[in-house]
Amino acid sequence: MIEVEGLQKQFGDLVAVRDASFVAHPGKIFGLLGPNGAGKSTTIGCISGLLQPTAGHVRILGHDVVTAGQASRRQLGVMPQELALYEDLSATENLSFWGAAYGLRGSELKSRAREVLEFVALQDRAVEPVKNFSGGMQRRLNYGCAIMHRPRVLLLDEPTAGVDPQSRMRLLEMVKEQVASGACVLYTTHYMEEAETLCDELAIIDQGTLIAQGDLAELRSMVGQRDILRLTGVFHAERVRSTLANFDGVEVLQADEATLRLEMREATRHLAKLFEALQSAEADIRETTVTQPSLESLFIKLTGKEMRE
Amino acid sequence: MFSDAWFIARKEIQYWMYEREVWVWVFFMPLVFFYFIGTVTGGAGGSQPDQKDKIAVSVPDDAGFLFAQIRRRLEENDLEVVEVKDPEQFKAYTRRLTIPAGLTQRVLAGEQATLKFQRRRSGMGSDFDQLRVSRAVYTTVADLVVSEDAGNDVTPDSLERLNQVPPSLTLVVESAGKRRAIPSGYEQTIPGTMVMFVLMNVLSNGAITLVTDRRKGLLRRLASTPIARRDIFFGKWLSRMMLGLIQIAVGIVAGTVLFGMNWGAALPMVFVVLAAWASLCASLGIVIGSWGRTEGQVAGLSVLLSLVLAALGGCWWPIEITPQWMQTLQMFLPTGWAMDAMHKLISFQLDATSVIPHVGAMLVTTTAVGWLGTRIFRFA
Ligand SMILES: Nc1ncnc2c1ncn2[C@@H]1O[C@H](COP(=O)(O)OP(=O)(O)OP(=O)(O)O)[C@@H](O)[C@H]1O
Ligand SMILES: [Mg+2]
Repeated sequence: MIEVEGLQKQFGDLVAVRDASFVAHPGKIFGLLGPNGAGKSTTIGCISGLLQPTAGHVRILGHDVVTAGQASRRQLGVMPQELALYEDLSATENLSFWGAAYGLRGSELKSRAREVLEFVALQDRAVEPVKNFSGGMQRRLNYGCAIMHRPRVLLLDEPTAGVDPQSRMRLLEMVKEQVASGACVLYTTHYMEEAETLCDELAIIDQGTLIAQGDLAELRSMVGQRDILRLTGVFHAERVRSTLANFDGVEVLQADEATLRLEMREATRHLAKLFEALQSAEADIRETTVTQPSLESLFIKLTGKEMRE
Repeated sequence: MFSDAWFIARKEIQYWMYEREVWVWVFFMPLVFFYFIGTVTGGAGGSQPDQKDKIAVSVPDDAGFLFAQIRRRLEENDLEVVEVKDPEQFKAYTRRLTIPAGLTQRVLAGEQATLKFQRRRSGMGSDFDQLRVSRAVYTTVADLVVSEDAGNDVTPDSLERLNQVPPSLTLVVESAGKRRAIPSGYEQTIPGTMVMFVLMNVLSNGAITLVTDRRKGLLRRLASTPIARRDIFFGKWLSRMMLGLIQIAVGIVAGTVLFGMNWGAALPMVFVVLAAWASLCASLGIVIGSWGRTEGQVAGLSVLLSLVLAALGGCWWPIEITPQWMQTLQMFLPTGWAMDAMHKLISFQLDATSVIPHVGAMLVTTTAVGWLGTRIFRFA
């Protein structure tokens, strides 16, 4: 279990994580979803004891990461966002090194390295230097190094970033297996679909702030049944607002000279009428995007932007 | 815990040993330097302490008993006198002394007699040879003066009696036992090369690896394991120290086995000096690796610093032959402390206590630089 309470991390004036609180439970995957620079890695850094929180508390299975750092780190497996591997060493040597760093020794270390090697499907490449591996193979090994000591809590920082579909499938399977055996997983990603299919619970983070959290159903209900409609072009913001005030079932989320964001039920069916109304307000529409209820639309609704811009 | 630091150090050493460059620079290049620089500055065999330098002497049959006295004085100057008759053979020697015909007769008659000293080499070693031959001849002249002053005729007996009396002032300097000659040949090159290579290898490998580990996120990942940060730091220092010790072992073994190096009366202290030196280099490697951002940057700085410190500290040539300002500067450079300590032990055959200040200075600096290292050490 990971308990995060009022976590804050500042780098000088920049607040990378602001007052974050959440709980990740054993046997579940807790997703931290957010765009580049949102503060995902910073959050992971604070949990793994790499970064000293500016304020707030983090506990791993009850151990405070600041006051009982070593005890809490012993429970943790961390897969960093970068490939933290010895490239000149073989897969087996890498696994052994990180296993030993967590205290495994002797025959236990050896047999576990063999087991994990098979688990990450690299047994055929056991003695080759890691620098010869493909990106996907290196990611799998990176994951293997994190689970050598059978951690009860696993922090995975964008494990599938830049990975071929096959390795990605394998990685997701491996994570699920880990969870099935009772581990608590914190999983960061900026892939919406991945978060939707994999995570039991989710928090959405943007610019250091957790803007929404809950299980998938709860988050979906926050979007409601309505689509998000995004129009770009040239608009008179005031006239658009007054025109749309009379338009049934439309909520204006944002209106400025270049962008309109609207929320409405079954937007596609009402597009023609909507365009007509907007034209009467002298709007010049260049592009229209309709987003159906999803995490994506929730993100857009909450932040006013798309996740991948 | 120490075992964690030891684990980190052991692994790092193991990974260094996978790299060909490390083998080349730690095991091979120092020997090349020993050989070439040692040969150029001293001449192979020319100054191996346990093997006396040979001087060929051409002695006419009528040289008389004074030659025996000169011979005695030459031998006191650590020269092995070889009488050679055959002119061709005579020319084959690098040091040659020609005794004029009728030496004793002419000298006792008050005539001038000229001894001819020839040498084939030039440079430091040969200046030293000339010094030794001159000293032998002047001492013989002094013997004559003393003998005549005492009112005696100069005879083999009077000279023999003179040789028995307690040494005169000149002789006291001669017989002090501790050689004060400028270190030359292997005596200079092997310690100099070792001090330089320990510095260069520990500094460059130590600093570059730290930057690489940080860039690849390995240090960050290590920091997320249960290993305490101070153990990670200490382990990183320890691996650098061990690399230095390996370099020292290579130097001592190769110096002894391949080059017949005589380490003086206090070999354990030679090792202590070098170990203290390695520990200072280890701390410095951590500081440079923590300061730098790219491998290129720290590699450049490490090599530059090593070469400058080696040159100014007396690793490349004996500091005695440099201008006074350099000799003064040497006292403020850690390479200078290391080299001075090595010369005291090896060339001047002083005992172990003479270099305690040097070792102390190096350990204090190790601690100070190490403390700076703990302050600027970065995991990310
Ligand atoms: N050591 C640091 N010093 C200063 N600023 C930092 C540091 N680490 C992160 N930041 C800043 O904190 C913010 C959050 O960064 P973080 O790496 O946590 O984002 P992220 O969500 O992991 O992004 P990505 O998806 O790109 O990995 C960014 O603005 C980043 O520039
Ligand atoms: Mg990140």
